[in-house]
Amino acid sequence: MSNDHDLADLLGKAPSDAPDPGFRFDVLARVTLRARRRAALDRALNQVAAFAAIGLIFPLAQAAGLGVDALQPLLLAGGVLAAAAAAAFFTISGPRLAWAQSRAALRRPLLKT
Amino acid sequence: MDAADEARLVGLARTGDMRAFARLVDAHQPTVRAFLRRLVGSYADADDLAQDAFARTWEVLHRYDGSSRLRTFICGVAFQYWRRARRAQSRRQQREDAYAELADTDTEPPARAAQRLALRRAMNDLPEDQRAVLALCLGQEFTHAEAAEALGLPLGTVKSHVTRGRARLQAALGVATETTP
Repeated sequence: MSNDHDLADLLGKAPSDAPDPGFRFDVLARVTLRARRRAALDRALNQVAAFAAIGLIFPLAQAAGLGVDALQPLLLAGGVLAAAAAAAFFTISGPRLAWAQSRAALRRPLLKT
Repeated sequence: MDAADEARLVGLARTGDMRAFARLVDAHQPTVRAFLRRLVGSYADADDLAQDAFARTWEVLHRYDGSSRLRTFICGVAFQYWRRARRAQSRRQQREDAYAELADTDTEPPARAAQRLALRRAMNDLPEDQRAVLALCLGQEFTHAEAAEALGLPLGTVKSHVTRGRARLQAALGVATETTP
């Protein structure tokens, strides 16, 4: 029992040298899961930053002595730009390519013959 | 897998090629799992840590400079994971692990099961670094230099850990200490 290999076997047997598809699948699943979590965290941070910035506009404007009437054109332009950016984002990299799918739905015949 | 093939696969994996990474996982999983099984004791926990270590390796593969073998790099990542998991582990979990180890011995002959438990207890009493050195150097083809690099320890420390750790494990089994050449 003094042999190093015997000691090692008693401490824990090494798995077979043959590829283990189950283990490989679990590793790749974890890689994907971690990437998704990281992406979700990034998205969450971006959203928090964006909403915090929007929320800061009003107190900062008030502190600078600007009323709602003076800010109205600026807010209108900002809203239009934000809507355009959101539409572009969903079109380019949205989860289901919203515009492409809606176009395809419109082309589809309503009744199959 | 030879060094050139491994370097090619590492290059592909760095560009996001999952198939190349899957081949690297296939090639190195026996070594990493064996290391963690000897370190942790529980096979299920060891495999869990090994999967986390490989997943982390995918994320930090750009840090691998090719100066050492890839398995050394992965075992270093696995060692860091084990240390972190060990610190987070509660006493309750340790008791559950001890029970699981006892349950694992059901299919073994009683004498061998007793040896395994004695060895595991002796292993658990060793300092973290010494345990890791033994798990790498006993029964695997890791050289002392490779173990030193994977664990971030000086070479002399690794050598003394192997000598003293082996002696303590042999003492736990009631075997007279052997002098190594």
